[in-house]
Amino acid sequence: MTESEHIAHRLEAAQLLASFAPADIAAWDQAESLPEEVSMTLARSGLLGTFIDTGHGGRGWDAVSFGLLCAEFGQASMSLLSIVTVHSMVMEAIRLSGTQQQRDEWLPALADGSKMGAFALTEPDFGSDATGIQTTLVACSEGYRVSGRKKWISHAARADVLLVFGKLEDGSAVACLLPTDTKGLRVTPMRGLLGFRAAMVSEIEMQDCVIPAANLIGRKGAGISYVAAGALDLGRLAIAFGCLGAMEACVADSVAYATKRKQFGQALVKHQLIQKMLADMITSYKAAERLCLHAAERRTVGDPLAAMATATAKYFASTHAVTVANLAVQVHGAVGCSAAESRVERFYRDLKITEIIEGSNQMQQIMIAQNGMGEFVQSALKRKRLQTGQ
Amino acid sequence: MNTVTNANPISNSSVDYRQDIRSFLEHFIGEEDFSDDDDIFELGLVSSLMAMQLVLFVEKALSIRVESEDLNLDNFRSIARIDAFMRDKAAPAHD
Ligand SMILES: Cc1cc2nc3c(=O)[nH]c(=O)nc-3n(C[C@H](O)[C@H](O)[C@H](O)COP(=O)(O)OP(=O)(O)OC[C@H]3O[C@@H](n4cnc5c(N)ncnc54)[C@H](O)[C@@H]3O)c2cc1C
Repeated sequence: MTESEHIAHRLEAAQLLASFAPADIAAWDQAESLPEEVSMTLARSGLLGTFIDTGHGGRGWDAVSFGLLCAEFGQASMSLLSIVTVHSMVMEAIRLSGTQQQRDEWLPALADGSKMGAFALTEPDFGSDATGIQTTLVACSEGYRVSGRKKWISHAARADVLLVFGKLEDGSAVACLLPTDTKGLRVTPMRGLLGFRAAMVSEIEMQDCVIPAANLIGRKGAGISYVAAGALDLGRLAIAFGCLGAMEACVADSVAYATKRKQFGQALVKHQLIQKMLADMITSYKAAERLCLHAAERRTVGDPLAAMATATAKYFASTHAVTVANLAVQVHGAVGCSAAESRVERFYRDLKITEIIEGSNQMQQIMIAQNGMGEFVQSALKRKRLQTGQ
Repeated sequence: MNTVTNANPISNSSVDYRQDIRSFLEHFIGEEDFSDDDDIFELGLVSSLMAMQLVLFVEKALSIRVESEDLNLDNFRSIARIDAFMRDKAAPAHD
């Protein structure tokens, strides 16, 4: 895709998000839920399945366009971004691990937003250590009976279908699609969260929920290592770009506020210690932007190392986004501590969440180190060969 | 360390992918010695991204899509197994 197409796609996302008033976005956060008409606007926007191919009802956008869309969502609301993220992860799991028949059956309705998906991996006792999950799928005449508990599941309270991860009787990990109107399913919204408050994060209880065998996504045993890993890879790209958008909002608001607000007879922006904060924010943004675009470009060309670039981008962007939001609150002073008077108060809370989700940053560190060490061993070996002329 | 035997000794394609696979894996595994039959998932150095990366590697090398029925981790456990899998997948193009 060309640069002008990327810009046009970004603009399309920006136009949708501009239709939501900033005061309303703040109000959803305070109310800890999203009005149904906003969900409907999102669903009908045609922007929920952009990376899915046109044959399955998507737009066929590349990873850069998808990333820029996520940046626009993050810039407006991290709660909205998280809804787009988990919905995209469900589609990505079906796209990567589903059979042709499953892709034909599920993707069109998800891509056009008539069905919304949520991603249900985490359980009360198993977060980072996802291979330990205890949800069970027991074979029965109708297919499988799914039982167990999930916690911290974004948008589950509004979703039409959950991608649930669990284990078969032989202990092998699997993924399955569980419609939310299935008997035996109870979804309870969680209140009082630090961030992502409008994303309707919920707790889920499943008691003998029957699904047809055709709802199993991916091979038996590949549930975590391939199905979840592939979906989380896209989730990390979405979150990395979302952080980028949120950082942009934080920098823009800080510059505007520091230009307007006067102390000691001059605008804050004239004080060098404020300039130092702005410089650090701008530098973080620029560096994160390069890492995010690099990851998206690698993904677009199908580079097998793209997932590594994405983990690096997510780790860097989320860590720096937290720092940038912290500085943004500092630049705003008391105003930065009030949801009624600034957006940065919300970003400060929301961005902390990005260090914990899609694999906490400690999990990213482990992946980056394990996956990245060989590269440096190899380059050292090559240099040694050059030096010794072998 | 466990070794796994070649899943498909009678390969359909005469192209040998072992060196390419080894070069790719050395990106991650570095200098550590490992044989074509060693189970790379048990080497302890590969991350949770490895299964995805290997599938993408095969897809890119052969310009194919690995379909869900082939997404069996056992096909990707060792250089020998990946080689056998790739030969099998490449075969129609060589007919
Ligand atoms: C707002 C929000 C939305 C979420 N949405 C979803 C969703 O849609 N779907 C879903 O499935 N889950 C979701 N989650 C859950 C999220 O994915 C988990 O919180 C995350 O995987 C971490 O798991 P945990 O909270 O159980 O922490 P734990 O795994 O208990 O970890 C606690 C701390 O210990 C660290 N730690 C753990 N193991 C190690 C180790 N080996 N070495 C070093 N440090 C370690 C972690 O990094 C973390 O800092 C959401 C969470 C939040 C807060």
